[in-house]
Amino acid sequence: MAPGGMMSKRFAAAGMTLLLTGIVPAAQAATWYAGGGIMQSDPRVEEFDSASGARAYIGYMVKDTIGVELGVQDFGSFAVSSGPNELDVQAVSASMTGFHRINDAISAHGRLSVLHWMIDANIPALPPGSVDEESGLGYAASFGIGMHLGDAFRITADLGYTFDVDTVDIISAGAGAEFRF
Amino acid sequence: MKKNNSALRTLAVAVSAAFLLSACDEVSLKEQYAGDDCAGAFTPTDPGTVVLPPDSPDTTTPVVDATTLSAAISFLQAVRVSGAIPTPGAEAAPAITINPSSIRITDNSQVEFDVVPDSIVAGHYIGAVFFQFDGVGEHFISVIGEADLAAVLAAENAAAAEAEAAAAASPADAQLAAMAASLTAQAAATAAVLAAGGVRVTLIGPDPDASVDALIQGASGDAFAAPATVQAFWVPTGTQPDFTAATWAGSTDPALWSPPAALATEAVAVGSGSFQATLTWDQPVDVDLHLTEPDGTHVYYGSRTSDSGAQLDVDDTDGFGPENIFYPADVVPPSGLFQVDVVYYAGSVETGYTVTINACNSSRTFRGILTTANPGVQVPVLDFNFGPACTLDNVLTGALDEPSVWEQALLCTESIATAREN
Repeated sequence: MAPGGMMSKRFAAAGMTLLLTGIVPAAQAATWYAGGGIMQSDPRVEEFDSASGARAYIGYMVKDTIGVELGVQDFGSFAVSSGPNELDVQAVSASMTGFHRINDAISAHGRLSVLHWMIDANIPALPPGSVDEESGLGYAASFGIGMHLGDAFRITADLGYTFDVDTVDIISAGAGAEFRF
Repeated sequence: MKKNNSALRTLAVAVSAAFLLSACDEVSLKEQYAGDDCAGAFTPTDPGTVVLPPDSPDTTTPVVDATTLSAAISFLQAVRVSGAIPTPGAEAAPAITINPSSIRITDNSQVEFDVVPDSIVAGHYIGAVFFQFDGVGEHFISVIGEADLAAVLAAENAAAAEAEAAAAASPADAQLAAMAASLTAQAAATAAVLAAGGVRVTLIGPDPDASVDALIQGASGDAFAAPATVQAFWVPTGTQPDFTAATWAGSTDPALWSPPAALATEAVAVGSGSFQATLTWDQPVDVDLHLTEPDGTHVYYGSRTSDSGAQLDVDDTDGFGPENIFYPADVVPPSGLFQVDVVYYAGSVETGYTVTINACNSSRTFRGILTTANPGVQVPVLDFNFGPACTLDNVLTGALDEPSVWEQALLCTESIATAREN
């Protein structure tokens, strides 16, 4: 049922490849970091519009190149293009992130996440007694780059894909900032 | 090692790029689930427009009294015999109870009643039920196979299990829950009939294939009483006499004949045509028949007609029915999903119900039990797609899948929701 079932396997394989092949050799001095930003998300369904949202996370470097994170995402309100109905989608996530320092100014990162998504449906015509909230488990992968401004601060840009949000996938692009401490 | 890393990096980038490119194609929920509605009854795409054959003239004798009703009526697995029921007198087999004690017969309808004995004659089963309209010079012998009711029970159990699975998949859907409860109770009632050594008799209304509007003459709702007498005959297990013969083994043995039981039969004139749904029930309570058309238009006692031609011509509020919704023979119903529901409106006891639906050149009868637990809840009877080469297959229970919240957001329209609320 989920669109992109085959794609999900391909994407997971790509993410795991990035994380496990040792391409993130850059050392990181700080052990904690936190970040956040804004993003534009689009459900992979023709009939829904894209939406603006935001995300925030806090992470801990378990190795020089690998961090674990807890985060929250507000994907925004996805509206049906032809009607009044909207779906508000949020998620909390646990992630593993690999970092690769390309040079002094630029680094790349890849992130695999397990998330618990929550949908609050705003459907005026929903019959009484119908369920208007759903939640469940999904997973996501993203790639990004960061521009370092000093040792503790970088500006980030990410492209991510979230799978199985109640049978629908969501693609996201975002920009943000990250601070290490 | 460095060379290997470089190769893996290239591979990772290539796989990732391929993924991102493939992710550019969005799916369309509408194309996947065309015809869906708020309740999650997924239906095929629009089946097109149906063209009815021209109406044929009424060549059937009008049904105006018990004699003409007897001539027009039929029974499943039955023999029609001249004269009165050939009982020997002083019948000594267990007395029988007929459930329901009062039935309504309409054009194109199908009515079932259970014959339950007070006790079981050892080594025997009820091999036939004899039925005669009082004062009419012919009777019917409804021959009962030993396995008939067991087969009915097996089918009812299967339907109940299917409905329970559907209800479990949509725990918030009160309609599905009510349907599952109804079918489960019906299967239990049938099992009780079977355990008591009882049988079920199916009585079919006048000329089910007729294209006339009213075989039972009169304005819609006009009725006449046709009281009947019913007797059961017990035969040894493993045998089945030839009831068409003048006599058969045990035919003159009073110990094998139940005493006569009265059945209050009534003939009611209702409309029929290209579509007809008729509801009858067992108890003096108020049950209602509802029809939802493909565009969400709701036909019921509060809105008796639709722009497309459907009519509720008979409404009953004090017991037994019938309630009848039909499209005249010269009206083409719209193509698409039709939903037939029943509602327990008011009363203090549970009741069995029978809904006979004639459409798509076929007829199906649905039975269930409505309890007082869910007054006002629409219990689904049949959701089917009308159109060319249509069938009375239930698309609700046959292909139920709980809609995701994305599908609900896309497909729940104001008209459908309003119709369901009403």
